[in-house]
Amino acid sequence: MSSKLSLGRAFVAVFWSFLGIRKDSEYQTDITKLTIGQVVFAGIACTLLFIASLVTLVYFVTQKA
Amino acid sequence: MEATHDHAHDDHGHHPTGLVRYFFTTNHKDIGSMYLWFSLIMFFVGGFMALVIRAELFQPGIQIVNPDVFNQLTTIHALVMIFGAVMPAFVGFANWQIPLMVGASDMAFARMNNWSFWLMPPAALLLVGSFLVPGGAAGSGWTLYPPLSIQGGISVDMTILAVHIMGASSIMGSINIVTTILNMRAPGMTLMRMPMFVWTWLITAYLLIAVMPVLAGAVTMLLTDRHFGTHFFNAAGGGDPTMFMHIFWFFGHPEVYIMILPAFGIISHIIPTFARKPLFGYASMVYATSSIALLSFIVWGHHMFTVGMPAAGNLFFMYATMLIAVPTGVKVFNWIATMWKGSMTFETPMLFAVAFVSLFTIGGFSGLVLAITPVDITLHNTYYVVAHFHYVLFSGAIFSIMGGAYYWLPKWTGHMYDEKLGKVHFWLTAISFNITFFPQHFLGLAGMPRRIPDYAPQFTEFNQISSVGAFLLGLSQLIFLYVIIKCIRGGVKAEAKSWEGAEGLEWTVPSPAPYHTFETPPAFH
Repeated sequence: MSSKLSLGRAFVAVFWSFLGIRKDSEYQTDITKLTIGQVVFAGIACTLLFIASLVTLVYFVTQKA
Repeated sequence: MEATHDHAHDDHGHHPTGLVRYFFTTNHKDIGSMYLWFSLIMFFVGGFMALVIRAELFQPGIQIVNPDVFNQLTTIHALVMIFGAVMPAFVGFANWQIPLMVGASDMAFARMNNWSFWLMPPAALLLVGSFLVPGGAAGSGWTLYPPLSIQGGISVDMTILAVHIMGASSIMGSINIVTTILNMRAPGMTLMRMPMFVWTWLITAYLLIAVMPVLAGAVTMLLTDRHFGTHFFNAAGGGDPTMFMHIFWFFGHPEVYIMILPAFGIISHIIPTFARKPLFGYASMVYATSSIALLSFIVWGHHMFTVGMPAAGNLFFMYATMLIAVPTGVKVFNWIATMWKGSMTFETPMLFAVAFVSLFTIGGFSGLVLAITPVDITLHNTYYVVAHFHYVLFSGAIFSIMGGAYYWLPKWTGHMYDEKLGKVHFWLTAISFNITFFPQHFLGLAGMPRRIPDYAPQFTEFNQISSVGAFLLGLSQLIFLYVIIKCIRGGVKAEAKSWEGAEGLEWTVPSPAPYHTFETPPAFH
C-alpha cells in the first residue's frame, strides 16, 4: 500500500477512534499497515478538523439567534 | 503470554541498607514504594483537613475555625490531595508496574527517578508548613485566582514554589515514563500489545509534559505580579485576571484527565482478572484514551462559563465538553462488556473496580449536567460542583488506587492481604463515601455555595449527614493502613501469579518481585 493510501487509512482509523469503535478485521489491517507517525499526524489533524467543525456549528447557531 | 527468565540470582541486590538505601536508591521498586508511602501520608494529611472542614460545617455558625483558616483548609486540602496524594500514587504505581509490565530492568533514567521523588517531600513541607507562617496558608482556593493570590502573604509564595517543584518532579517523572515505555519494552511487545495501564500512563505522561509548563508559566506570572512590578493579572495596572483563569484551566482540565487516565488503566487490569476474560475492545480502549486526551485540551472554558465569555465561546466549550461523554461511554461499555458472562468473583480489588465503574459514571453524568452552560450558570460554585468532582476524584481516582493497591500488594510484599478486612474496608468506604457526597448534590441544587464556613439553616440536615459520613469515611481509611502494614509484615505466601485470571509479565516474576527483575529482557509471546 502506498504511503498516500496509508495516510488516508490513518484518517479513517482516527475517525473511528473518535467514536471508540473499529471493525476487528480493519483494526488488524491498521496495525500492520500504519505507522505511529501517520496515526499521530492524522490524530492532530482530525482534532483541528473537529475544532473547526465545532466552531462552524457554533457560528451557524449564533447566526440564527 | 509467558516470560522466559531465570530469577535464581535476582535476589542479591547490592544496595545500602537502612535510611541511606532510600536516599540514594535508583531502584524503581524502592522509588515506587516511596511514592506510594508518600501519597498515603499526604492522603491522611489532606483527609485530616477535610475532616476539620466537615466538622465546621456540621452546623451553621462558626464553631471550630475562623473563616480565614477555613479558606486555607479548603485550599491546601485540594492541593495536598491533587499534587500530594493522587498524582504521586499513580507515579508510584507507574514506577513499580511499568518496568515489570513491559519487561524492563528499571526505569530509563534511574537517577533522575530518585530526584523526581525527593523533590516531593520539600514541596509538601512548603505546602503544609505554610499554615505556620504569619497570615496562615494560602486561602485563595487551589486555583490560585488573582486578585486573592496577589494580595495574599508569604504563604502564597510558598505555595507557588511548591507547585513549581512538584511540576518539575512531574515533568521529570513523565520523561522517564515515556522513555521507558518507548525504548525498553520486551522484544515482541508492540505498542498495540502493551498492557492498558502502560498505554494510559504513556498518554498521561504526554499530557503532563504538555500542561505542567503552562501551570509553571501561570504561577511565575503571579510571582512577578506579586514582587516584581508586573501587571499580568492586576486589573489596576491594566492586567487581566480572566487571563489567569484561561491559562490556569488550560492546565487544569488536562490535569483532571491526568488524574483519571491511569485509573482507567488500573481498572482495565482488575476487571479482566476477576471476570476471567480478556479486556473487551482493547483497541477501542486505546483509541478512547487518546481521544479523551486530545479533547481535554479544548474544553477548559467550561470551568469559567460565568466569567462573561461571548455566547459563541460558551457554546463551543459546551459542545466540546459534552462530546467527551462519547469516548468515556465507550470505556464504561467495554468494562461492562468485559464483565458480561464472565466467571466473576468479588475479591477486594474487584469490589473497588465495580464501585469505580458505577460511581465514576455518576460523577461523569453530573459532569455532563454541569457542561450545559445555562445549568452551570445556576450551579456554578455550589456544592453540586463539590459533589461532582469528588465522585470523579474519590470514587474515581482514589477507588482505583485502592483497588490497584489490593491487586498488586501480593506482588509487592509477597503476602496475600487480609481479604476479610479488605472487604470491610471496601464496604465502609463505599457506603460512607456516598453518605458524605451524595447529599452534597442536593445542597448544591438548593443553592448552598462552596468554600464557605457558615450557611443558612435550611442546609443543616444534609450537611450533618455529609459530616457524619465524612468522619466514617476518614476513620475507615485506618483499616486500609492496617491491612497494608499487616500484609507487609506477613500473611499467606503469595504465588508468582497471585490471581487466577491475572495476565501479564509482572505475574511471571516471583512474589515479592525480586530487587532486580528482567536484567535480560523476557520473551513476550
